[in-house]
Amino acid sequence: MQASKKQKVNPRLRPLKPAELRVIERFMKKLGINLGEPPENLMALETPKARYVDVFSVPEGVKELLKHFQAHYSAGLYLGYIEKGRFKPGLPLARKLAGNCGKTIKCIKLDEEGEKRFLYRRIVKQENIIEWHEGVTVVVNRQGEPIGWGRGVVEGVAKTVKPLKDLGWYLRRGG
Amino acid sequence: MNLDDVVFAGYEYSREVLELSERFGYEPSIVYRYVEVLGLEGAWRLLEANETPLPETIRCNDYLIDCGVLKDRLEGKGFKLERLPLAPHGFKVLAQPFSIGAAHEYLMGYYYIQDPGSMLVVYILDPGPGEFIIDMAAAPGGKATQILQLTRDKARLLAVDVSGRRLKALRSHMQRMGFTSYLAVKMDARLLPDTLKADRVLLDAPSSGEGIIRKDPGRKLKGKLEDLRMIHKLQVSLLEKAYNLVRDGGVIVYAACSTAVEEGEYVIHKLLDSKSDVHVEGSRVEGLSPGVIAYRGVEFNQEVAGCSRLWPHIQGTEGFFTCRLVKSRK
Repeated sequence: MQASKKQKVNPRLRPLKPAELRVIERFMKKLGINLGEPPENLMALETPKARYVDVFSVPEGVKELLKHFQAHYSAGLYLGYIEKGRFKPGLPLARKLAGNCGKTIKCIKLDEEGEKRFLYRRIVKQENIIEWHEGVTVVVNRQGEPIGWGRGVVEGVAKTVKPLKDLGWYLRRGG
Repeated sequence: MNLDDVVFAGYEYSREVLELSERFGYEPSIVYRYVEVLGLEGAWRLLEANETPLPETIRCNDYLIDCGVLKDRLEGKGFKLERLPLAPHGFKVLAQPFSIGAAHEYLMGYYYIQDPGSMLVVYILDPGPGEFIIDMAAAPGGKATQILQLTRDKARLLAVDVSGRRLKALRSHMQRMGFTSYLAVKMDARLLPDTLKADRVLLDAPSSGEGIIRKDPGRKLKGKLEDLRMIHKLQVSLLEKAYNLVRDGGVIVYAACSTAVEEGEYVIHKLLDSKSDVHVEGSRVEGLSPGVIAYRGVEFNQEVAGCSRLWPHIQGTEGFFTCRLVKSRK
């Protein structure tokens, strides 16, 4: 018998599945971070009909609140999202990791002009790059402040940085 | 006699009210209310003050940056800032070479664009680390981010709002400003389970917005009595819910971005009248105006004098009402 009405499914935070955790571990390993102990209470927020899951690290006290609600909107530190088996890091994670730049992570550092271009989501050329690293990593400005995620790419003989997610997103998307 | 019948009785406009409404371009009911509370001279001064646009103000996020450093950085880019007297983290933006909302420092989460009255409410709430706090109408997140700023992201905040669009903005501000100790849920706060029992509850109630005419002159032509009656009813039901959600000994801060007594003192009066274990506490902030204790011939519970008001012609801000209440310990 067919149901006459489709059941409404609420977005809810749930513990991460082992396969999802492996996706994040793989990403972190590429960055040079051995997760060892994963961040506190890694949880996935599944939104009905979406083809991705948002990933959060939820503080213990906040986690206790979840049981009171059938639907959750957002909680804790946003790490990024998983789509088709790939982890796409979010801006709060860049801020969290930026303190490790030059220590456990190789980051990309840009000068003022590079910062400006990056925040406008434009490719940054070699002359505006202070420190460069190939592949996906955290991008910081001259002062070491995180400004997003980028990919270090060699084009011809020149090193460039392609923005993946930059702080300008807060203005462009607003949420 | 039902007090609603007196407070919401139809208005009879005097010649002076009609003249002032005409002169300043207002719906007469708003001017009637101004005159009722402030007298003719006070109403005139308020109407004149409302003609001056509200300057943009920001709240420095000292969770991420020292406020002196932020001021220097923004001034180095051509902005001119001045400290706000009522709000420790507040700055008035006196000059901006480009929109203050487009500076890199904004994107880095170093400040929030917020009116002084809104900032003030959270200082009056005075949240502490380790506390469980409910923000019943939290989006777009000005006060919610300020709660976590003042508690160094160490409170447990339940941020509730009925609007998904506005919650999206709240989530974005939380992320931008570096806060994590929160759960956001999309729902009508009146449906929250009473078992939650928070240390503090903030209710910045949906309001007519009559207090922000300096920012939005279009509101001069709203404020009809019937609309006000419906808003009042919603505010009373939300405040009753706040009472149910706070633990014994806990604090409720009620706020409304309005100068209308119907959205301020009268809402508080109804709670005081129906609950014997809740009392008004002083705001603990200097320089605010007291609550109004008599209106349209009705004497309110004298405790409402301990509530606080901001007036455009006195404090130079938007019009705002706020009241700190404490629920007695059993």
